[in-house]
Amino acid sequence: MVARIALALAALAACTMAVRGPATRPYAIEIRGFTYQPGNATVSVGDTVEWLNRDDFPHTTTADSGAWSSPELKPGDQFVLVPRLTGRFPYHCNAHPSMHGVLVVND
Amino acid sequence: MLARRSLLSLVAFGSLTSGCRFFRPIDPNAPATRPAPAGAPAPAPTAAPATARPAPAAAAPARSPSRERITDANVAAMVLASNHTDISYARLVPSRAEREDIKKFAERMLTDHVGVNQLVTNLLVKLDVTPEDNTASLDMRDESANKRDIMRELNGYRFDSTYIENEVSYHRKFLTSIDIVLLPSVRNAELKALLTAIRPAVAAHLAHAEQVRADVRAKK
Repeated sequence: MVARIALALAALAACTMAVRGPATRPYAIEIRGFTYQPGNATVSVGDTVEWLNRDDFPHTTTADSGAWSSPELKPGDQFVLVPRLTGRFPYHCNAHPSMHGVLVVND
Repeated sequence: MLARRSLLSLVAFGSLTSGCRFFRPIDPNAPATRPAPAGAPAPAPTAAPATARPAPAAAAPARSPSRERITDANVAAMVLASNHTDISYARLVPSRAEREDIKKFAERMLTDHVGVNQLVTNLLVKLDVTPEDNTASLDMRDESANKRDIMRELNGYRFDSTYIENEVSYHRKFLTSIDIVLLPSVRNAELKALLTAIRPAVAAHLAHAEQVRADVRAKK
């Protein structure tokens, strides 16, 4: 009985690992002083990218290609993206078009 | 011969004494005075002027802006006046503008400048500083009132082009004011930090205004 329970638990753990896959690395981009910091970020597919608005003004993060577009982020808000495609993705702030950043996604 | 020599001596003596009056050595410790013209009586010595107390800023200042000492209360008044100016311009837009990008730009100006005003006001409450108008802030109000009067009479493309030209000019002046007047004058560290945080917003607005202006001029 105990052996059966142990086996079931091990099987469950194995399934969970397979579903979760390798652990993703969160990557923080701060919005501060009307800039994205860092302005050029390189991540891997499946990483978690967080834009955190540390400014006193609302901003967005909006891919030039349209790949993503956050809502307007008030001071203190954040936007999370898990990129699934590789490539170089320039982006900007819809509210303040002179703000630019680049997100590079590798395998 | 003797008469000529006497005459020459007299002329030389006269030159010497008048020369002494013109080329009297200057006492470096005496207050600077302009030399009296030849033949004019020596000016009566004047009493040293009493140290002038600066007029309170609340009573309309008469001195030119370049001679006024700018206090933190003046800095606050100038920033608030600048913000109110752009807010007032933005409020003219919805009923007069033709282009969508002008309307969106004005909405952004309204949001951001109202936000700045709130930040400034909150800090002034915290610091217990009451804004005090000076010549610059009063001039700004007068100038903006004139511009609003002009823009109120316009609509469509004429309004759009006048508004955006004014926005470029306004933001350039505000940026210059921050760099040359406000930041060098401000004393309180928190107010200085806030001005430093506001500066990128004004720079971003200027860049945005220039972009919209280019599109308006190209009639895109």
